[in-house]
Amino acid sequence: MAKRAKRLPGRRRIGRYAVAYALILPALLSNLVFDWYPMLQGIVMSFFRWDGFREPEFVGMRNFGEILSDSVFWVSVKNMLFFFVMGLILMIPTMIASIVLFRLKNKRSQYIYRILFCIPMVVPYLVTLLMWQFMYNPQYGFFNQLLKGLGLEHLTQTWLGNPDLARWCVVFMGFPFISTNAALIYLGGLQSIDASIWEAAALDGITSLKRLFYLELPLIRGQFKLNLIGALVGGITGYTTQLVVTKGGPGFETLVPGLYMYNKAFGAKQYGYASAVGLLLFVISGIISLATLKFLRSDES
Amino acid sequence: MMAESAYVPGTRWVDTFSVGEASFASSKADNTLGAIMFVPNDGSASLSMGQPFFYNKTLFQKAGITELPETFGEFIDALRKLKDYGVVPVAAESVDHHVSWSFGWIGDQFGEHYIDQYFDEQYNGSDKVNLKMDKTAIALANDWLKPDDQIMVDISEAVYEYAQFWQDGWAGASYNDAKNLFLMQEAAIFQEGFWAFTEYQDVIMEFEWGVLPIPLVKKDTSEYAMEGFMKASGNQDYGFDVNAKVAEDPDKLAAVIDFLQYLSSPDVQQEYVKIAISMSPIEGVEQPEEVQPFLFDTELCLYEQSFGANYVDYGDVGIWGGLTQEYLTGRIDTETFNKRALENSKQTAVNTCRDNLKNLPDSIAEAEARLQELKGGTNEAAIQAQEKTVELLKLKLQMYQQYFSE
Repeated sequence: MAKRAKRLPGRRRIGRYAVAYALILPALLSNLVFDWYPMLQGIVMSFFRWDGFREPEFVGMRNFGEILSDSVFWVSVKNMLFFFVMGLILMIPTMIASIVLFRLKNKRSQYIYRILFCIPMVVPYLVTLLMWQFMYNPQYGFFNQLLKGLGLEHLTQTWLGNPDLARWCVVFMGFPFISTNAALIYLGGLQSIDASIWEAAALDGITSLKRLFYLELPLIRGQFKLNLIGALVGGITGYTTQLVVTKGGPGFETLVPGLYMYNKAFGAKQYGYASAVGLLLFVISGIISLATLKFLRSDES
Repeated sequence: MMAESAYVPGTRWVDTFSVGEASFASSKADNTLGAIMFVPNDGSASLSMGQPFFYNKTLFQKAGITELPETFGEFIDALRKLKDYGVVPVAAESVDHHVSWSFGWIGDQFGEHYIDQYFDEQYNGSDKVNLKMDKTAIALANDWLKPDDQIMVDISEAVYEYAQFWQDGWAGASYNDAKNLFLMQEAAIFQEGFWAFTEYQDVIMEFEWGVLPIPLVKKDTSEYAMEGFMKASGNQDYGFDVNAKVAEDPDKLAAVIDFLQYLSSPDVQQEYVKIAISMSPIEGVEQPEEVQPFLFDTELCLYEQSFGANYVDYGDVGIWGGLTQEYLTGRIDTETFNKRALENSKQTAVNTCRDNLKNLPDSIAEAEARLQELKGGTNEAAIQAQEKTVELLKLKLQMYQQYFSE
């Protein structure tokens, strides 16, 4: 039986690992100061009314009561659910693209696809959004100009200015719906699998479709869970696209809770109220994430 | 500001501004210290100005508009002609400026004393004009304004009528989208402030353009129309702020004061307004010809206050921005819009009333302490101005105590 290593006493342990602690200290401090402190302060501030100038005033649960009775908040939640569900559905193209890239045998093709995957990463997201906004412009944007050029002027739209289309326009801005980060995670997962599995499958004469459903998708389950959490949190709390492109309009058609929170903080100067919205979003995304993980775990067992 | 100006000998710096120290009474009453918190750099307390319309003269001519519209009715007719000609009459953007300005220039021509009806006479009158926003807050907080009040219906419907001449999809357009439409001659009119004048002088080469003054709303549009504009407020509203830390270094403070006195001296201001095409806050400086269209006709500046559009924009812009888009694109009717706008404005108004009840006593104490300091000196004008500030603050507190309770 292997001898168990004797644990060093406290002081000697710290002394031995002093360099290690010193190296992780900046990251730890940064995490505490820029992540934990603002988060905890936000939780505390959600029970106060504060406009950024005067002394915060403790109001207990009043902020939460006002949020829950605000019809605009519930409109934003409804919109968030729409973007959330679309975000989940649109995880599929990334998975398929990753699997296609993984299956490519030709080195040159692999190389070209990898470049195409990575190019979007070097373009700032804001630039992408502004380009899409420009393309959607009803008067001189690309889409309407293309339709006119094809003799389809009757199909031109006001796109982001059309309350019935605006949400779909925002969703479509993710085209071709392939997330580079998520794809790299899937690829990493697929490449870490023992090659003997693919050899055995080839010997058994498994079809391409069966290989997809019975081998590849189940084997990237762990990576899927990781990306799912990211998609969940992003779908619930994200608002960058709406802030830059639509500001929640037209009307409230693209307003999401994150943007509602932003407007309350920086528009209405109600930082306590905005913190309460943030706390609600945190709780909602936490509950949904835990429930999803539990479902996936029970599904595995 | 009370010291003699180094550039206007024998005159206190504060008195070199048009309307003098009295022009700061309102801003002093609005801060907890009861003090002057900025040095004005442009704008004028003695001139009434707005954001009128830059217009494409060529498109106007092609559309058959031979005379510039002067009234709201004539303005709508002109927009109709432009639309029939096939151009976008007005380039608009989704919220930030255009929508709020539209409610502003129309609402500011309605109901001079409408809000006064809810208050005792001691709170009304020419010398109580600075209480108007407080009265509005109290009226909103107490639900005294109703969605079907004719004045609000008339303002909302006038803006709605005007909005039908904005470009398709304006609710998704940014400020730059709208401006580009005008610069590309796709739209005939774009509303902007005088600060854009020099930019357009440099940028617009392909067409003739001009500035169209804000049209007058007449009684044929609404019985509540004042058929006039508001007089100059007599208030300085904004300017340069100075970091309080500067006061810790006497040399730095002296340099800052000297610079700001130099910048606000009459000679420098005269040059500045010519180059910048701007308006000067300094008494005696001749305003450049180019800014004249941005000034309301003084013969029509008859009124001290107006009802305005605070029933819409008093509240959270994240809410009223979306509401105005829903209304002006026809998705909700006037009464629903007014109702929801009032609800949104009420939330902010209640907070304002609570804050004022809580903070005004401190503001009064600060202002009274300042008055006692001044009374130790011999500057009678300063003492009188400060006495007015204290009186205004006390009246404000009394009004809140009388009309608002949790």
